[in-house]
Amino acid sequence: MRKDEFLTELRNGLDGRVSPAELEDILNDYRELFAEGLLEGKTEEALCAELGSPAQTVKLILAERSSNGHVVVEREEEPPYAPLYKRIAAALLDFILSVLPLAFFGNVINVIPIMMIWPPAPFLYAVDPPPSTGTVAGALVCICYYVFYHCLFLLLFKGQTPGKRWMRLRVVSQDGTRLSASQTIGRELLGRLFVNSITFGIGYILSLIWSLFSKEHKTIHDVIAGTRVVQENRFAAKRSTHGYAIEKRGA
Amino acid sequence: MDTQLKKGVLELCILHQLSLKDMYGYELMKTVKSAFPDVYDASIYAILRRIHAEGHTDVYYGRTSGGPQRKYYRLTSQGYEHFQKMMSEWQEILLAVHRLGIST
Repeated sequence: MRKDEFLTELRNGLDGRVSPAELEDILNDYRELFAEGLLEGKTEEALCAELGSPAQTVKLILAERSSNGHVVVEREEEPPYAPLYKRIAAALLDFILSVLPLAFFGNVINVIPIMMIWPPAPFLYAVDPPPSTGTVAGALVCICYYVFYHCLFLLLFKGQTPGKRWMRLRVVSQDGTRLSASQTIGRELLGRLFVNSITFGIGYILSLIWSLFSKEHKTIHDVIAGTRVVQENRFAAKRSTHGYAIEKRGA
Repeated sequence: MDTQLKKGVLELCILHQLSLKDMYGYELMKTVKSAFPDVYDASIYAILRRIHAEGHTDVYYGRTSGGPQRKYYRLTSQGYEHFQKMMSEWQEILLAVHRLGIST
């Protein structure tokens, strides 16, 4: 691996998980390391081998930050928790969007209300009784879309679904860093779909009660994945102040 | 190399090096690695960044003739106090473990 590849992968691995100013600081440290190493006559390949993989470097950097919890710049003001009504509005819009394609299949459309409580409902309909192979296949594709809807958008929009975008909410890790892929899967597939499927929707009701009484408005899937939902606008403003800070420091 | 104990010790060593003279990141990393060869570069840089973020050091830039621009770290008075405090805690620990019969 060459220096540029290492730095690019490092940037990609850290982007969104540390503030832009901190990211620039970290990259500068590694630029210095390469410059000094080359001066000693080492090759870029040898230096990269010594450093270990970029993924591991990212892990070490993040581990050092969270275990000590001292990264002052990011801890000062926590983004506010999303109010409950916004979360419910976002969830309703997401539900509508996630079942929308199903409306094209006459035999599945009438289970849509049931899906609000019991997600796997259409599977029964799509499989038994099958009206035609084409319809069943189409319905299965729609159901897969429904199942992966949340994961897809959370990964694509870095912690947002269309509903959350509309309400300017964002799912983040408990420590305020960006949602990871494993957290996304844990939150949506395990915490939301699986739990509500096996409990016939009781999970949703418990989530609602729990979120009414907890200060952070946590749902069961938030607890399982170690996530929280924050109000986006102030968070975004904070990120831009960091951007300003780099320019000043670099000048 | 992931233990809190080792991180604390590394922090103490970094502060100690900086109490002797101002150093740039790479130099500091090489010095620490000469004593702890299995420590990752990333860990040392990360600890150094945290020490800096906490206000224990400030930085200035120096350039050697023909060499790259180097970012030097210098202990602030707050950093020096922090180092003294860590050092006395460290000595207390050493005394305590000696008293219990652990010796090097």
